[in-house]
Amino acid sequence: MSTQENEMLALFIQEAEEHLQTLDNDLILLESNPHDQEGINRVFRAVHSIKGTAGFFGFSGIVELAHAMENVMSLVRDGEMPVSPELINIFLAATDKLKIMVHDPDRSSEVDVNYELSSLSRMLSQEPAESKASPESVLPSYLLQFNIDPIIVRDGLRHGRNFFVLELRLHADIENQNQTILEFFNELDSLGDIIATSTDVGLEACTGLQEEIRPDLICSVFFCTPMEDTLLLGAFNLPPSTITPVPKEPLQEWIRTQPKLVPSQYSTKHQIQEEPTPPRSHQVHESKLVPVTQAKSRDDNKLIPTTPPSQEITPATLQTRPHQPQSQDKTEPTTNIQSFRIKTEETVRLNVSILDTLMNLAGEMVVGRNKLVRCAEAGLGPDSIGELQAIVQQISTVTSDLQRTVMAARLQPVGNLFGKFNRIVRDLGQKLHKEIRLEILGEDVELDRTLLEGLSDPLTHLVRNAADHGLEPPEERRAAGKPPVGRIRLAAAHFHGRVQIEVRDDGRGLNPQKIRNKAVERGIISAEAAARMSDQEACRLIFMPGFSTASTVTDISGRGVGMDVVKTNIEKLGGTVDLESEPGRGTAVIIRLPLTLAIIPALIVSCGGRRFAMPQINVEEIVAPGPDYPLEILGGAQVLRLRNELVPILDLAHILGQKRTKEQDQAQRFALIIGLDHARYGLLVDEIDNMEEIVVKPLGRLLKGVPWYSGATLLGQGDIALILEPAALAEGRLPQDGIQDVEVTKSQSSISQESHAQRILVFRDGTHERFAIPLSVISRVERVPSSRIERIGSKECLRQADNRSTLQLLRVANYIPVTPPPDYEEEVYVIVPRLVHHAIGIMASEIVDSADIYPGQIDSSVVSAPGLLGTATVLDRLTSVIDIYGLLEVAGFTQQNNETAKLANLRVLLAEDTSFFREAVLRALQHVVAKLDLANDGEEAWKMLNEKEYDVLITDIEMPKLDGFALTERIRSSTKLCSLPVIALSARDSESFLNRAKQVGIDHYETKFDRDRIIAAVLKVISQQNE
Amino acid sequence: MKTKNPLLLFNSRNRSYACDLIWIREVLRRPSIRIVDGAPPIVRGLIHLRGQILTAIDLEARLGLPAEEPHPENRCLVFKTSAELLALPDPPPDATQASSDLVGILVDNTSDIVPPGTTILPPPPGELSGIDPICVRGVIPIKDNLVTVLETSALFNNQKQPTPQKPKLLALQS
Repeated sequence: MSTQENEMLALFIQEAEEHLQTLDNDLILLESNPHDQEGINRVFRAVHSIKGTAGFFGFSGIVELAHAMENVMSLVRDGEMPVSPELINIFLAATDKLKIMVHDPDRSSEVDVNYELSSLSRMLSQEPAESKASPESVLPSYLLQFNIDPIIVRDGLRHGRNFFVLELRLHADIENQNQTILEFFNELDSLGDIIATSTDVGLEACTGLQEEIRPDLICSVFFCTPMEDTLLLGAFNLPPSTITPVPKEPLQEWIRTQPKLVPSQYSTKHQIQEEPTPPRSHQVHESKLVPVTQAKSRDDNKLIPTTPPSQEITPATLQTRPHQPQSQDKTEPTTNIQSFRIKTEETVRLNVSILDTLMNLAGEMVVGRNKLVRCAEAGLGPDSIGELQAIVQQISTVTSDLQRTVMAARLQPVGNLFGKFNRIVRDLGQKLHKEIRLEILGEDVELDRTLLEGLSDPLTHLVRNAADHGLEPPEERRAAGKPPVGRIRLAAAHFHGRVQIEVRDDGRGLNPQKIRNKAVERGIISAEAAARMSDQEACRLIFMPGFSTASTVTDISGRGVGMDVVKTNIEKLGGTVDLESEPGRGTAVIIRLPLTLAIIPALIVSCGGRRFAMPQINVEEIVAPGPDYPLEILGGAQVLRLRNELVPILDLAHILGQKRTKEQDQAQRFALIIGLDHARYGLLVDEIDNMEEIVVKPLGRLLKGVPWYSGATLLGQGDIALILEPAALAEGRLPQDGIQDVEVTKSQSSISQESHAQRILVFRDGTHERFAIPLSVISRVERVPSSRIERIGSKECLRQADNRSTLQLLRVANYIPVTPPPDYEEEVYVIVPRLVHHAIGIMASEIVDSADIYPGQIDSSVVSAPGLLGTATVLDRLTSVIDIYGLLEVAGFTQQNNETAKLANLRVLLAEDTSFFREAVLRALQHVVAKLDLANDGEEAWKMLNEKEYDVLITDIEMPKLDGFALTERIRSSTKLCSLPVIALSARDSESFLNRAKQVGIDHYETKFDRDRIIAAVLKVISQQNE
Repeated sequence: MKTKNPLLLFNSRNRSYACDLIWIREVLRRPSIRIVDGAPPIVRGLIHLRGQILTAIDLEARLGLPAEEPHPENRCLVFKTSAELLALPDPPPDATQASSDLVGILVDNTSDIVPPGTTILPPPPGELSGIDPICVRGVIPIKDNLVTVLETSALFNNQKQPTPQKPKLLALQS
């Protein structure tokens, strides 16, 4: 095959693929709007041109199928066959086959199209040879002037509409009433269906009528409407003489003569599938050809005006087709095909005007260069600087224009991508037995080609998800009071200089609780973190790796890609993904993308003497840490106090593993505050260089595995800067709960926790880091000379003054990630906690003060570790708040108890209003028992006990609304709950309390809050109950 | 086995090598290398080549030889990409295995061209110990020296390359 033929063939493939794409869309449009003549014509033309060009190359298989489709379509076009769902199905199936064939035309004859061919020929052969009677004969004479669309008439009759003929004088009846003709027809159209007009003035032409039709023209309108004639006349203020009612009987009679409209004929069509497909043979072609000629011969009596009759079915094309020897198709080796197929994918159709602009700009560049050359030849003189500046100015303008134009050439409307979803959604609907309507908005929005390509898979996944999981089956929708037809909306819009693409469904929405449970089950987050999350945050968990919402993997979605892959793919394109979901109302996935990938504004920074580019879109601000924005160390991690917020700080040099000199570390550095979708952090760099528009170059294959860079770019002097990938830099380095917004955490915890203040003791231990312990858990603080501290093995101990007991001493730094302390000075403090049965003390070098703290102040998003509740600003300094029970656990003061296995099936309700003690019980029990629910007061606990089943109640005594005693009294007097074991937990251990507890029927009264004691208490009460 | 195409002779860290000349796109003099933090050991850095960015491979690291300082970086042999090789009138049979992006190896100098028809001997045992055998086609004795003939296409298909630490592990669901 010559080069020229190769090129022609490439062109054929490209064109045919375009035709097939539009064919898909047009067929689906036709399905919902079967009378769209323009759509029918487009389908006809597409099929025809595929047939024509394929015939030129001798691809007989393609010609054969396209020809069969064309035959059917020509009947449809001539109004002799309705657009039925079966027809659409067959055509879509045939289009699919054509796609396969066109993709590899040389082997197209190997594709099995028997089913499609036989179905198509069957459609043709079912056509009656002739209409029974001349259709117009039964109609009243005044209707003969119209070209009547029988379908509208039939529908009108079915709906019991009234039929009228309006005789209108355009000027006197319409324009004199201050209406334009267009307005009149629009209004008329809104009141019913205009079946036909006799002046043959299409409505489209009406805009031009105002000027042209001055002398009064009579326009007859055949109209059907649910309104009565008087109402209609009143609505338009028309004289009664203009209206003639049409009796329905002749219309019904006429409809009966329209053979294609009788539905029973077509209801048999679905049987085609059951029948064996006839072998593909020349006979099939013969039988197919007969009706075509019949159809052509009836062109004269067609009912609907159409495009001029087509010239395509000439005997020549018909004759050549069956005689094409099949072997001819295989003369070319397939390798050749493949090499130019790559070519077809790489060509881009370009608007000529863009090409012209590029040409002009290139010309200007040449002029600029010539000027530069002249300038350089003249050498540097006193005037040359000014001249040079002018030239640079010009070249820079031209370059910007050039850049913009080339970018424009790369842009393509998203409609190109959205279009394919018509077909996908339709097929999904059929497969899932759901009715789905796809709405497409903003198809004109333009995006870079590469972005569009990269978007295709994620969007397909999202649309599939919406159809499969998002939308409910019709029955469920009806039951929920929604329209049975589900909607999926694909919308594109410009949004703050980016393009926002939304996939929205009006289905059942996500179930945040289900997602939480699943995330915990899959080990993606801890149960505590899950409980703390807002619904919105919980929904976002579906983007986490290892998560898949589908409870069962179906054929449609869950094909090995999860939402995390969607997210990763979008992020690779420089975009972000967000999610909105409302239970019962639907889900929306919102994708935001840069307009173009190739050139992005970026901040050029230096670190360790190397230059990096950070996409500007991720940089919120640049901060020089110092007195105004202090860098502090919290729990071993760096944080920056930025106004009222704490921002975790990452060091770029550290992440990249650069070796650093002392000077580099001591110099003033800068923090880029990086805003990601669900995280925010500061990135320390050495220097900020400048802002630049950078051209993104991909990294080579060998560097693809390095996650920190999204590409490389060339800077002005030809230096290479690596483009940083902010999400990957932070990956795994931010605190676990860092996905959460600090603000959200605060507001949430203030709702869920009690609002009164807790007194805390603030201390230091050698370093500047400050710690706090709630006073309520401290028994006493001792001040002892360090000489009294004795070492036993690795343990530090303090012998009590009475010599009878020994306190084991803990250093906070040994168990939680904080800066280790230097050696002790002469005196140390020992903080002895209460409510634990181990004799321990926590060492402190200095007791700073005591202070009040509100639970909402404790922020667990910056530092999170076992043994720490979180951080808070206390006495104007950041302070780590210690969870003493957690700390003891980390320090190994709990023995694993085999008996805990007995608790594994327990369902426990905890009624406790103080978050601190609640935490303590939670930490003790949550991994031991099957279920642990929380109630904030006695009243709530009572409600929950009655709604759900619990095996044990653990309750505080002093609680708002209903205290522990009263709650127990209620339980004991209830028939259902009277035998429920109740444990009271309280720090109050006075005689009167204990007596009262016994009185009301509390099974066990516990005053110490450590894990062992709580577990022992639970074990005790359940064994009592079993006895 | 005799060579069909000319070979390019070059030296790196006192060893002599040869590779197919047809694979070489150009030789850069004293390229400036941008080191990439966190890159796998066989990548020495990036080089700016007239508006394109080239990945510079450390030949010794690729061959599995110990990396001794100083690294040779006097010359960079730039290889043709697979597309460039396939576009040749008579592309080498293993052209599809070439890299699809620009890569080069850093060497001390290039010395000579070996004409076609030279005999390549199998490597004498022990002579090339430590070198990844996939990368070696054989040896050619030139003067007193044994020149290692590299299997050029194997240089880019590094199966054994340790994957760098990647924090993001995508757990794909089936």
